[in-house]
Amino acid sequence: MLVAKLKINFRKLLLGSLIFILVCPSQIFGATFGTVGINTGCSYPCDGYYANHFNAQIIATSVSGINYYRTSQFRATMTQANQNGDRWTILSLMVYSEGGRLFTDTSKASTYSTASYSSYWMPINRSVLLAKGNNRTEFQMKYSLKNTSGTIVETWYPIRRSSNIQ
Amino acid sequence: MKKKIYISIVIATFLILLLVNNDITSRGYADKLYNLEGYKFTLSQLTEENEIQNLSFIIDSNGHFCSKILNGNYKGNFEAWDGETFYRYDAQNKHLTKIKNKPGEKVISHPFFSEVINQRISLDIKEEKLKKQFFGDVFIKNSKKADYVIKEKINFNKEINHPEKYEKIVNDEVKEYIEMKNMTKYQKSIDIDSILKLDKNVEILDL
Repeated sequence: MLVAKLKINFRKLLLGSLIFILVCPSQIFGATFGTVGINTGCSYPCDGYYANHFNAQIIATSVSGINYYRTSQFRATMTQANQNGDRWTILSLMVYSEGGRLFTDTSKASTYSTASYSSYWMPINRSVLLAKGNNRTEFQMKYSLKNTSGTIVETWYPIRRSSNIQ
Repeated sequence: MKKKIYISIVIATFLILLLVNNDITSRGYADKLYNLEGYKFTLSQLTEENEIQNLSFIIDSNGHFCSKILNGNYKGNFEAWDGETFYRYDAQNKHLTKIKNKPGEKVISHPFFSEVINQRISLDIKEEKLKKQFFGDVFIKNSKKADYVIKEKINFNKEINHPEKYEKIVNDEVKEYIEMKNMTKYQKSIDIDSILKLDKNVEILDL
């Protein structure tokens, strides 16, 4: 009786697995990948006076069966206090895979934000395939710093980068 | 008699300290921290990959600059600004980004040389968030966040009226470090043409 029941369950499991394999050619795992700030004098968490001030992420899914990530969004945020109404944007986003440039996006170059403390992530929605372990993403930010009167005094171009996400 | 001797010793010690330190209160540094224009120097800093990175810096009297990475993973990368265009060269990927600036726009090479950020530091000194140490031109801010004991330390260089070294120490571990070394006056102007002598196969992105 028990053996018969197990046989039926095994058949169901086998059938279910076959249907799943036919319908979904591969399993999908979601992940969010971080970036590092370049040339600002700090390791994590980097939030002092002279910190990078920004963070950026890549949201992607790992597709088993092929050695790639499928991206859905690239996004950046300002991580610190905005004392004088400083404004920022993603000036350019460059994505490379297997040594070649997949795209350059400058769609946000004139869209400024004053949001701070990671309250807003500026999104760039792009679906591309990144080769695992052989990829590079670079966010070039534009950061306009204002004085206490609210006048832009200077501009800085920080970078956030990720290399060779495995 | 003994009491008089003790009082004299205390007063003498106080006067000596006053002469040596020239400032035993926690009052602020000079009101304005000046830009480092007309100087050449090396900047050492901690990267997010936890390595010490050295950069050569030139900021000419117009505020135009060139900084080049001298060691590590990003060796050969440079950034330059000639008053009109900001250039960023990625030596590993042979990629040059050119960003055309608006008239009157001032570009800075590093947050360490930001007038706005240094004004915020001046304000923190004035409000005694950063307190002057008894000896030397060192200002320290101590704070606590959850289980972390945080110390921010700024060493000033009186001659240039600018921070010379910055450290953020979390639970006795240096997490942020920037230091200027080998400072010399620089009288010439940045020569952008010689800086931009690159291979022909460099990929250029114009923004």
